[in-house]
Amino acid sequence: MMADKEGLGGHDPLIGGQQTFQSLDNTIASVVQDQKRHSNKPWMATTFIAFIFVNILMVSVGWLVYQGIGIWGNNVPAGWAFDIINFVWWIGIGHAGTLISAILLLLRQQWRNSINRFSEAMTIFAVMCAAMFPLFHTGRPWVAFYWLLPYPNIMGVWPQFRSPLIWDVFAVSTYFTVSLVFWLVGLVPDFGTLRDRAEKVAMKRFWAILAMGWRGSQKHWHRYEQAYLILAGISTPLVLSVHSIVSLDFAVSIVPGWNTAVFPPYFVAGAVFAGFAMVLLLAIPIRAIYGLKDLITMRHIDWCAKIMLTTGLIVFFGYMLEVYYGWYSGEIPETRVMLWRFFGPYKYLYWLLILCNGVIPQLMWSPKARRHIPTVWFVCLVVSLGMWLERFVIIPMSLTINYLPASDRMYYPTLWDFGMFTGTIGFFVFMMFLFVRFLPTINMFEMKDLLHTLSHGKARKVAVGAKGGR
Amino acid sequence: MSEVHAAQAPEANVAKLGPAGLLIGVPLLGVSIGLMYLAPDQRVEMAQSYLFGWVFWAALTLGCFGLTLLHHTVRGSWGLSILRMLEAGGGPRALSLMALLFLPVVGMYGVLYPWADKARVAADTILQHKSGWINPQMVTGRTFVLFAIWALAAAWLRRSSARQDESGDETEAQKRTNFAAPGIVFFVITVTLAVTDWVMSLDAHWYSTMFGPLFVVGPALGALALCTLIVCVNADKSPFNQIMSLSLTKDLGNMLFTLNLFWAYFNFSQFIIYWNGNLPTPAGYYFHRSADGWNFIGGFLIVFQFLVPFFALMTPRIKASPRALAWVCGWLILMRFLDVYYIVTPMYRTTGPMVHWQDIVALLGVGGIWLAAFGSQVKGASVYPVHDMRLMEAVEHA
Repeated sequence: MMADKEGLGGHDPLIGGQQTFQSLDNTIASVVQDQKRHSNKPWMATTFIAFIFVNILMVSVGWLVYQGIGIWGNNVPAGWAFDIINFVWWIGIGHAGTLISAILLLLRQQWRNSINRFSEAMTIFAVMCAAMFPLFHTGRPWVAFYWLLPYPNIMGVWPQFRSPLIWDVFAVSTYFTVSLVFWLVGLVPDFGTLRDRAEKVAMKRFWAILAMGWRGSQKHWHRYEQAYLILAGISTPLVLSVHSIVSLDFAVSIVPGWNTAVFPPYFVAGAVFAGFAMVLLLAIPIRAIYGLKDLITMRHIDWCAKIMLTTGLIVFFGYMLEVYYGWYSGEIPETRVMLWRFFGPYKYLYWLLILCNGVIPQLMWSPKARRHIPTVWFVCLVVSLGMWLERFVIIPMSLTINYLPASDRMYYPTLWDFGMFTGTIGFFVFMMFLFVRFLPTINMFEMKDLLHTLSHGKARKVAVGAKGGR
Repeated sequence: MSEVHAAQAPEANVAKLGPAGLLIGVPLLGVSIGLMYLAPDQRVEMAQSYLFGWVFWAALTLGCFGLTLLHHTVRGSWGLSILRMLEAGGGPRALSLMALLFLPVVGMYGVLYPWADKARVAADTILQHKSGWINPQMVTGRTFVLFAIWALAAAWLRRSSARQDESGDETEAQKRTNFAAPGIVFFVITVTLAVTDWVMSLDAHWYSTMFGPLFVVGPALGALALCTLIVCVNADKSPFNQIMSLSLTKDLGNMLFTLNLFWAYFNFSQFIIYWNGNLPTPAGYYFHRSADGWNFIGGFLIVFQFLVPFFALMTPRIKASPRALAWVCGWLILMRFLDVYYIVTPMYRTTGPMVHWQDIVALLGVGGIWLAAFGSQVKGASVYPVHDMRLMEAVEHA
């Protein structure tokens, strides 16, 4: 069974090269099972640098726990600053994984098959990074669970159920649990393949334990597909609900610039925007380092870029709504916030945000730009920065200006703020590269299923020609 | 095979809606305008009812136009069966007609909008703040300019689609995509501006950043429900019987489900934020709608516009049956009337929800004329586009 590089209708193919089931297994599994494929310098160099930042993270967290959150730049009124910016930024990045793995599965979009495993891993590590911030922001993370989770206690004290901060606890923990289960269930058939391919007995046993007795029988596949669809059904509402709840952390309060009805969909769009940018930011170098260009093709990059453009436009529309209704309201605090953003001491960050999220992503209108890898990568980098800036604009920039001018106070981050933020980036990259090293980055059986579908002409409109069979 | 079906089945005549609409619309519209301008004791009541009727049909027109743009942007196969209906509902005739029917509103600014009342503007600093942008000249100018742009765009898209039907030239489809993709961005921004002028500004102080998105999604749901209703009701008639398939009704049902979900999501977001924030101006919208029976209408919409269609459209059996899907669509259209009523009417009626006879007259008057424009536009082309290969494949396999 082979798929030809030339597609129908002159489009880029979903699977490039002359592929067979065997060649797909070889290409993907060898990244895990063949040591020689990791002797290249980029993996070592990136993992090493990321590990340095993991150490910075550990030092930052250690000092934070020892000294307390006073080492951060947070103050009154900017009680939320880098910690919550980073929390929202990381949670948002995870959303692309859930959208790709769950929603695109339900929409029968088979192009997801090349990138879903990778994106799901990204979701899990991003949520881990996100969860660190509010947890350490409590000041005493070792007792935080007593404050955050509702449990019957002799004092009769319960969390405030009307507060979105408590909804957040449930949203994020559900999100992490469901994403992890979804990811692990999806890995089971591939663990079976790795077990069957392993040569050493110890490795065979290792993969056999993870495969949980997977034999690939008809009954196994039937149950697997049912479980996977149910998990996709559970995950789908999470794409909307998690970031909507995160947005409510701000929107339900009465801080000028926060009590804005459009926040939930605007946050969700921003999350998908940032998430797809991160998918491409990592997928582009990894496909180059490991020779996966036939599996993550220009067509995937083109579609991810289009989704990025669409969600970016929704985000930009959100900025316009904030400005227009900030003015339309005629309320002085709302107008003050807008003027503060435009002309205040943080104005450079606001205009940089507009450049990063509003102007530069418009390059993605051009099909040529969407197919020019350095341009796409640059835009993704800019969008990642832009989405971080957006949270800076929303959170400390709004908090530093209040109803009473006497309460206004500037916010400046400290080195420890940067230490913890860059540390989580290091942790994320470190975990992603460990994932690439030890687990199949691309879903092997779904790629084979796609190859089968394409080769049998069931999807004539997609751009892989079916020329032969095995 | 399809020819046999076509020969045996009765022929669907969507265009016949036109004369029927004209028959109802002309006298009732005449009564509406007559009462507004010739009967001083009826003026306020009639103008308010007319605005409600006009907003409903204008929103539906924009919903059809927005879905046309969406279809040409993403080129989803779900839209092919209803494209001609969308083009008729949001076409140049319907858009020009809605611009024309806005003229009676222009004459009634003074009784409808606080910003047109000089005494109120003089006493209200917020109205003064907005007066450079929200004033009779600017609102009128914006409305007509926007309708002109929308109508020209709709005319171009329709002509391109018709040209492709004749010539089979595939480049026309690409041209429409290149036009519709930025067009949809322009559409969303301009609809937001327009509904702020037409509806939000009925309240001197209230504002919501969600209002534009709500007026994009709600009318799109209504437009899709109307077009799906027409296709499903004529499912056994020629030529619709040639394109009917399980996947078509499922796709249309899923699209209705998605839009309905977004409608609920947007409304819920606005409600939870304003209720929880509890600030007088934003929460004022719900304050006016939480007494005198309006709360009952709000609850009714939650259950019957959202929950009942939500579960109905989750059911595969309903999406597999054109007849069942037609019932859901009919119900959704009724709920759309109620939703627009719930948004617009409490802006100026302080009493509870009571359907005034003027409301019915205006709704049917404007609606009748709208149906006439719809019918005449449908008559001008084939009932579905014959240029798209995917639809042709469905016809061949029918």
